[in-house]
Amino acid sequence: MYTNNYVIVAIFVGLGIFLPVAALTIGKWLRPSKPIDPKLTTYESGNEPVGEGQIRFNIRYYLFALMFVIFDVETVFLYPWAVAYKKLGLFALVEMLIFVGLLAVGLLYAWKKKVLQWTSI
Amino acid sequence: MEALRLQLSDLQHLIPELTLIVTALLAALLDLALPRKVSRSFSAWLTLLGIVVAICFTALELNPEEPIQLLAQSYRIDDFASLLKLVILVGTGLVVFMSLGSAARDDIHHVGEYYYLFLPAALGGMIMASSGDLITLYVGLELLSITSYVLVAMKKKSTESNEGAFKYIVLGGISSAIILYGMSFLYGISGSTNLLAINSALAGSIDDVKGLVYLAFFLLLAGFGFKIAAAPFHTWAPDVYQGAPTPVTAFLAVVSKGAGFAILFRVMYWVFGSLTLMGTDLQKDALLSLSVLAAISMIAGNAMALRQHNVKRLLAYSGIANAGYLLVPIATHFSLVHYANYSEFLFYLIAYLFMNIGAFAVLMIVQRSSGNEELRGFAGLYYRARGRPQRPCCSSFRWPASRSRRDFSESCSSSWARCRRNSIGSAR
Amino acid sequence: MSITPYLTLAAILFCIGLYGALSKKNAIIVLLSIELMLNAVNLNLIAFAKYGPKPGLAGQIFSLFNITVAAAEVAVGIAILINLYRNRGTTDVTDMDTMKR
Repeated sequence: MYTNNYVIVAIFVGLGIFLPVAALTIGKWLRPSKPIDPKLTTYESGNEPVGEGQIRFNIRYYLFALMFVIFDVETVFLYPWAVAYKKLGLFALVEMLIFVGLLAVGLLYAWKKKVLQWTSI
Repeated sequence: MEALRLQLSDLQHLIPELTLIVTALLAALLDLALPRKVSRSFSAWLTLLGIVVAICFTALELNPEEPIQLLAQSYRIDDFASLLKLVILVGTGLVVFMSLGSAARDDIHHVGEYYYLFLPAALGGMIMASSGDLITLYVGLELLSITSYVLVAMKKKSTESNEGAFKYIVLGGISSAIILYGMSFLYGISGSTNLLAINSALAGSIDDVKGLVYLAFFLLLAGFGFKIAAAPFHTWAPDVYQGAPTPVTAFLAVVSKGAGFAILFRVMYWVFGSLTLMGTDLQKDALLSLSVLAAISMIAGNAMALRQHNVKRLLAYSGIANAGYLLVPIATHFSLVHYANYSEFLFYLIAYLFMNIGAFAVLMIVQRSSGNEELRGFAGLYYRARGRPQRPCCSSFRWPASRSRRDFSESCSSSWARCRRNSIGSAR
Repeated sequence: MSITPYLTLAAILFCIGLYGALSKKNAIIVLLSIELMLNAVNLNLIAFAKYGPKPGLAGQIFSLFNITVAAAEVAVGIAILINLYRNRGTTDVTDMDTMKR
């Protein structure tokens, strides 16, 4: 019974290889071929491409990633708490508020140290 | 399920920890709110105040009628924990006291942060000392480690400080991952993260899963070996100690190491070494491998210290050798009469605390007068500062030996021998 | 469902991470490799929590803590690395040898 299933998988693999190869080959026979230089440039939504394809990202993005971590971590712990909220009751709510408050201090720190401005470093 | 919830009444047992958190928050907010012109020395005094208050609360918790446990044994307040917490807090307090005024000289730019970061670090150590569960244990460990990484990197402009911090974070991260991998197998075998539950599961099914238990044990041993800088896993210590600001080095040498030993002790006694496993192969092998680790640390630490010219590196190797001595009370065989070597361990840890902080304080004074931290900075001390610096030098180096000779020589002769050997080693 | 494939995958991931952390020259790759090791642990924990001999929720909670701690750790690591790059102008770990051995 399982052999049958594998036959189907094999047919799919065969078709999956055959179809793109056939489509590309037939396309190659039918289309006109006029290679010119501008056709080889990178496609950037119709604009003139600027600079290299592999660039360094600005280090300022790092600070945004760090800000993301604050909220990311917050959600990771808020989810299980929210799922069990009805069983946990008021004290757990207060605990969570303290937790969010601690993270807010982290955000306040970042704000005061001018991390939220683009020109900070 | 009721017992798994934290109640309001449980908070009274957590007052020392809460004191540290509140003080750290207060210092952080004040540091943010006050204008830049205001001197940041208030941060140091606030930190010291918080630590002193926490010491008082911890001392009040000593000697409870029965050990207090919160959240189904995941947080335990027993005498083991309280005494180690006192050691950690006193060590942190002395380190903060030591760095008063030296922070500006050491070109540390963020003085406020520098002081109040000691509080979460000490808090991490306290959580480690109290934890009876793998999760609390790991969270405490990481709180201490991550704060220490930042503290080591506090000299922002110094290449050595940055480099030391990076080495520390890479090797610390690897060791954390190794510890966690070991913990995950312990969890898999027992289906629980609680140390006592793991122990009973091990005692029940040791023969079925022997391979996994040994794997978990050796992974944990390697990871904790990194954290306490025991010998085959010690390579980070000299560079990190040299790069860090001197008070932070003292903190790493005393508080980090002490907290690392706290969890090693807890895990060894509760999981691998407790009475339920008495006489099994696992326990014998665990104790033997700890002894081997101790022996390698003593030999390698003392031998490699001979080649050093930098005093901080020398003290790092002294710390490695001391890790070996501190492993001895954990590794020695126990009998029913004398079950735990806890008192010997704690005695040596306290001696080590005062000796090491004294040594680093002396180093700071000499460094200031001679301008470098090489051994040659000590040359001609007699002529440069007649009579003055030798005294703290002598006292800090001689302290454990003289004290043990007076008070403890009968009760713990083995500790006495170790202390003597150690004080000779350091005073070299 | 057997637990073996998960544990094997986790072991392979852990070994790749350890190899990368110990042998790579670029400091960023070293930090990435450490993340790989931690993720191997998470996989292990979740596999044990679902298919282990004694399934339970504790493993999943443990892995949540791991995720947050790993994030904090690598954030501090990159901050230190950026500082180092400003002072030394390199992220090559073989260049980090200013201190005497």
